[in-house]
Amino acid sequence: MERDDVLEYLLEARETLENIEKDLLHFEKSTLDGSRVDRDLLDTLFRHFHTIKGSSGFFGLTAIVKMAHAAENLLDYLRKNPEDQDEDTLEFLITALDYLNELVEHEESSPSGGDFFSEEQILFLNKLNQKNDSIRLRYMQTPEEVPASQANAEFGLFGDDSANENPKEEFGLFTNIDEPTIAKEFGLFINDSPPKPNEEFGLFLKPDLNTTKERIPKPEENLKNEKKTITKKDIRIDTDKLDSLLDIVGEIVITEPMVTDHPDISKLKLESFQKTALQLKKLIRNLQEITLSLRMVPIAGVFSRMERLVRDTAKKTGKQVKLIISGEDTEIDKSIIEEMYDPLVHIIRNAIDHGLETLEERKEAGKQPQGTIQLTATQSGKEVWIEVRDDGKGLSRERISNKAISLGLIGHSDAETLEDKEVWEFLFYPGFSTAKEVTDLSGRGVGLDVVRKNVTTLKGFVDVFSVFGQGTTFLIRVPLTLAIIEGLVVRKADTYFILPSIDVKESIYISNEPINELYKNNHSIQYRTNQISLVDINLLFGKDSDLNDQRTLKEKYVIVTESHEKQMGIVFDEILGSQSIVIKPISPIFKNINGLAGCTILGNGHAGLILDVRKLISQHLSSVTI
Amino acid sequence: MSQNLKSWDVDTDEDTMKDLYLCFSLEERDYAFEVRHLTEILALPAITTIPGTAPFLKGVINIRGKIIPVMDVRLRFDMIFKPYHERTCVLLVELDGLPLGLIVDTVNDVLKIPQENIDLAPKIGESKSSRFIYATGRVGDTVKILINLQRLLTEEEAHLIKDIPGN
Repeated sequence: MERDDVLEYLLEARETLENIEKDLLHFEKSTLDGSRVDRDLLDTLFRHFHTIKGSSGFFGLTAIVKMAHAAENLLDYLRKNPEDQDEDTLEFLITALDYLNELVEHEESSPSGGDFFSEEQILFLNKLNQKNDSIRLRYMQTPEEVPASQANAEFGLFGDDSANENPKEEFGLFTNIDEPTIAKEFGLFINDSPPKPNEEFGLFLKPDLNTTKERIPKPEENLKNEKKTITKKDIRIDTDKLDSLLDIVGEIVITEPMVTDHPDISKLKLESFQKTALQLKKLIRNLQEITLSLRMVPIAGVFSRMERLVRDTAKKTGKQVKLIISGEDTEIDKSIIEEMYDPLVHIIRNAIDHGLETLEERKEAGKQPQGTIQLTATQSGKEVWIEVRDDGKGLSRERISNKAISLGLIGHSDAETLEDKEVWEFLFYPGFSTAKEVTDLSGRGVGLDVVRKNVTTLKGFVDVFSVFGQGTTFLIRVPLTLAIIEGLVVRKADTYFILPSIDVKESIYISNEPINELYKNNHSIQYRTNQISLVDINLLFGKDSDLNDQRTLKEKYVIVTESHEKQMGIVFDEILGSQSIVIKPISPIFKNINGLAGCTILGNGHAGLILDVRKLISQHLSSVTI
Repeated sequence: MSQNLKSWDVDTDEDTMKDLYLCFSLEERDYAFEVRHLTEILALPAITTIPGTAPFLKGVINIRGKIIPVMDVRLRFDMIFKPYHERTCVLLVELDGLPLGLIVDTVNDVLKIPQENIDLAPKIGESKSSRFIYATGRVGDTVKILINLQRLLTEEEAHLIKDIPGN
């Protein structure tokens, strides 16, 4: 078996396992509120486990087969005895899912021939099998349902005669299942021959003719359903290929104005050429949009993984938590989505562990016993806003500022005067944790500082809002995509720079504005109500500022940039306008470059430098104080 | 481009590239390097300066949608900067998979220098530029200075890059 095939299959298996997780969480909801899961969901779950079992058998991953098989048995029983759905069976299924995930992951990272690799897995499997055995026993002992002899005949299918006397041993079959049997069994599905699957399904059926009849069409239906979903399925594309497509499209976008506004033809009157050129422009814009959208996936994948997290965390903390998800259709660059997972896990865990009160506390506060966490995604211009809002106790200003004082971040007198917003900022300080004790869930040194760092590398922001007693909201804002940004193209001497539009606050013309020179290379300008630092790009790159020469200052432009509420003005000679910029990396030959986020090629054929405004601001403001 | 050269290699005589050197001049001296590194020779396009790096790294140029760094070989050899003119050339080379443009005064030609005409360079003092020279090649009455391109980008240079004030 080719390793690539196995890996591809494992990816598929992961998808199926994700679906199982989603369905199990539904299952849980209905179990908890006392209503029973409908037959459809059980069938779907059964089918998923069955798919995993079948395909894994094909690849010889015996551990996965055994685990899925046991889960399948349990589900099959539930299908017939829906009244037996309880937390216990649910827990079994969820644990089985966890182990399956573990096995798949293990197989991906260190192929070991598909066997169990930990004691717990085997113990759990035995437990699950025992559970299956015991319910089967109970189920067979109900005389009107299953006459013993028939049951035996049924199991005789596997040709184990000893089963006649001792059903328990017979069921042992499933624990000790040997490979040839599996192969045979799964061979059924691989060959896709319709009568045999029926037989297999029949295996676990009550030997009641009516039910059997009912069941017979099922497998075919299942097959059909699966085929339907397959035709709708996405295809997987190598990201390298996608990237080179994006590169080429980016180049076309850049070349288009170079051709249509070519200096050789600019003076000619070419009416029909202009018309065609316009058409081409439109098409290229469409092409660019579509290519970009190829990288975009709905955020639902990450969001749905949070359901499980909320469930587990709630369980561990003994709190009742309701997760409300909205905006999961919002699309965002795949590479960004992947980076969002960890920050979200952290924030949501915090929200449940620290934010939400216990049942008693909530009652006292006159709140619903069940805490709510709202996870929302919305698209806002070129950004996606992801909000995690809890209705817990909110942040304690006192505790946070005390902690900040004890860490020496502020003095006692400052603590009084700070705005709430400034106090919350301390949460993002490395090593800052107000948790009283280290718990299983948090306080292990991974703090919100890491969350902010992760989000900042994505050119995003994290902000926190809180009203004491009413809850806390974390707002993450990230760009839709990293490959193309909206930028303001400006010129300084012979060099073209691009400032990412999200960092630009305003551009002003400074012919008559007074500029204060505080000392050499340090200027400031009045902007609205503030004095902001005014810098020359030369200075940022290690040369003397030419702002020292007041005469040259006339007729220059100041771009006011902002990062983390800090503003800085950068002086340029000319503003050329705003456009979409395809980001290209700067060659690794240039080491230790600070303040540049990349390169791009402009319509005039020049290479432009994309400024990393946030870095520039933090660098500059740490060296200069106004 | 480099792939083209490779396939050339295979398709025709295996030795096509062997012993072939690209010769260029700086001041009055003739230099040469193995032609297999060369991808293309270009007229100098507009250079975008990358601030805050070593002076010999002049910046980046746009070559058909690719951003390629360029190095002024004169500055690399500690010669005095000479303004670029119409005949200034960029030799596009690929070193360890990284494309790089070399700015030189004049490109001469491609010459065959057989192995027996190459003499490993003696230790020529402590001069900085001598580190790039590994041998000399006799061509008729003249001597070409053979340079080791890899050395142009050695690690130790990375640390010479100017510190940025305010860091």
